[in-house]
Amino acid sequence: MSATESPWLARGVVRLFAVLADKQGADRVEVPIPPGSTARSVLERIARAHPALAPYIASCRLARDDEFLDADAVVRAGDDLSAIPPTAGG
Amino acid sequence: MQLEATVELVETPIDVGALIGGLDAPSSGALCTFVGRVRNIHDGRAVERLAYSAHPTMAIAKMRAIALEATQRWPLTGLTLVHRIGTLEIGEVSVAVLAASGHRAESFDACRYVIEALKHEVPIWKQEHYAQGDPRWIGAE
Repeated sequence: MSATESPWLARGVVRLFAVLADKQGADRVEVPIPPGSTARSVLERIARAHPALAPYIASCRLARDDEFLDADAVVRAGDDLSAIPPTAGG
Repeated sequence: MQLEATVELVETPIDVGALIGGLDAPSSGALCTFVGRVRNIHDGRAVERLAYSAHPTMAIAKMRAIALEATQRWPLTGLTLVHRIGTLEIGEVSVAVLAASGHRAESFDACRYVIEALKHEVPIWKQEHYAQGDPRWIGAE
């Protein structure tokens, strides 16, 4: 079994935007995404691993492939994931 | 046949007059236009400029979905939705929604629906820069 197949080492990438990218100083973060992870658990992991983002993650939604995910949606390490802060267009 | 809406995310100034001119179908008896502009004050603070950013592919996908919903709900003869990103100065146009229809009621309703849905569903953000103090991400801090 290779390291990348090991569930506790399965790491994914979540793209950051707006206030999140600003506070992180980067447009993405790596985060462990073990099998069975949900949109909610991924956001919670980001908040725990990056305290500077925690105050803003609480109001964010996770998106995959340009669609918002329900909090209970199952996600995988290879997914195209984005953390979406409250929208403010117009 | 379903109307094909025009949906764009642009980095250059929005020419509202040109957009209006583009919706010239002979069956359009009404054209309702909403124009969002950069305001010089927010919560009593003097605003110098706004910086808009977006999740580019998702923003376009969401804008298209909103436009499709509007064309299915109302008998429109034209629909245009354009949002600008980047740094905008006071008075510049950030967003334009144009809804054309045979009669005014449908164009008003569709225009209102599109701008409200855009604010709730489209991943676009603005950061206000003030005459004094740190900039602030609207809605997030």
